[in-house]
Amino acid sequence: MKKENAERAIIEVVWRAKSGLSGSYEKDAEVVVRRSLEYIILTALHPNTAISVILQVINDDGSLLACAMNAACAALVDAGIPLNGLLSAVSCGVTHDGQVFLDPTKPEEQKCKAYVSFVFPSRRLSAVPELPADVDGEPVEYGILTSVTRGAMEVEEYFSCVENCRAAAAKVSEFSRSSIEQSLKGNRDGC
Amino acid sequence: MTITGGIAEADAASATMEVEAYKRLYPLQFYERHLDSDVRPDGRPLTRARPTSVNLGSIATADGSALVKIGNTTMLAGVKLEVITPSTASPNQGQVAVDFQMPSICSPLVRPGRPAEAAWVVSEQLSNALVSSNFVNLQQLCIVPGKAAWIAYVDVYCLDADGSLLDAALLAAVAALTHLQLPAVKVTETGRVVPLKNHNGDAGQEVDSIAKKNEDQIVKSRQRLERSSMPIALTCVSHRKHLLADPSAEEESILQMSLTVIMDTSGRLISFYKPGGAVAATSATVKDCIELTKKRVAEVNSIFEEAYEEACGTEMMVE
Repeated sequence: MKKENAERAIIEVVWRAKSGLSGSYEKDAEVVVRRSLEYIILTALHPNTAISVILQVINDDGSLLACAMNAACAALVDAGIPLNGLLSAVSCGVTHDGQVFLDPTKPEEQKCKAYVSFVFPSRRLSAVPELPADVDGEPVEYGILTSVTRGAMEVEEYFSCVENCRAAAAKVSEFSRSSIEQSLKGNRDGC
Repeated sequence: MTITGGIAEADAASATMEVEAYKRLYPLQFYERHLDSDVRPDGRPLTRARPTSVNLGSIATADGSALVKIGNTTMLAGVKLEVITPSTASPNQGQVAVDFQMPSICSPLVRPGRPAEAAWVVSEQLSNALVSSNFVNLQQLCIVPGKAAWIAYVDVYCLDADGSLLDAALLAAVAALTHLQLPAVKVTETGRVVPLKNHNGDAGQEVDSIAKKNEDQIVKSRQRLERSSMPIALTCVSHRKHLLADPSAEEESILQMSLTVIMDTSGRLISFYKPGGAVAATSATVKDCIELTKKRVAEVNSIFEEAYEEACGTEMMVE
């Protein structure tokens, strides 16, 4: 019953929880990861194929979805799958007094009023600098690719989370880019 | 509606065929031509949701039930109550267990035996919305702290899947929980919870005082749950510069980006769910979606209050 597509690659995501059977949380996370990866993977380059991303949770200490997304993106780079960009995923929480804080741990997630996970497209380093980098007046990396929230918050608090996470995502994308460059350099030297 | 205007009646038939063929072969372009005139193929303006109806009490054997239709999307929710021993971690709280299913009847794309992917997503987001919004005050489900409490099994069935499933499912679940009546019960000395057959609210209170005097039993009269802010969802899709509210299944499958915003009647944001997609959402899109959702919350709230009045007569509504 595999869904083959003669025009493009299909992306399959499997999310394995640390323990227990897969429930609706895992299936929903699979859908979120898959649809986020559809943004960067050039599926039309590989018709009639499947790209399987398998995520195994080793330890959950908060910000699980963001961590999984960053891992999936790094794994795709390591696999050499052609991508049209990278993703940077961050998460933040909102305390009961309306304070926004980044990267909650598990105890913090359980105690806070609400927490949000965001995925942003990484800032592009274009070989052709004249190409417009803005969409609707704001940079591409400010666009929210994915947003998953838990808990209720005020609308202003949500916007404040978006602002803070955009800044954090810029740092994450810088770090992932430099890590990838380091590891590729290492590989080349090793050959 | 034809794509080329002013056709003579003799050619009307063939023109209709052409439109259908165009729609099948180039669905995206078919939609784009409509969107550029700020309208959808079915004539609906871009930001208007489909006609919504709520019917409470559709299932007589359930403790609470609701049938919701948004356009063709139909959801049936039923609530059944059972007595459980509350957990030691929260001895004065009951529980709510939500289950969402898409039987094969709802869509030709759903095959028996293999749950549709949408079913998992809606199920997860539905439980998330009910838990995050604190819609049900679990302490109201307590009968005797530490000994007995109600668990409300909320089952939502999709009878027709035509887009915006989460919107309809959430409304059905919330409506069924609002319609829910906890039955009158008394707790015997041995700790068994026994239903009281012939008591309504007033008689229940009378029995209450007599019981307290004579046998020192605990009696709970028939009651509804206290009303609180209702969470209401709106799914939006966007294509290039156009934002459409409440998409049908066809629109959801063709257009690029979809997201669901859930807000409650007190203006809080319960959930902002955007699971990836081909396009990222700009700040302007986010603001527009939240504005559309606020309007939708007011709209659905008034539809619901009318249905509630009809079903439950002139009961006082706690705000």
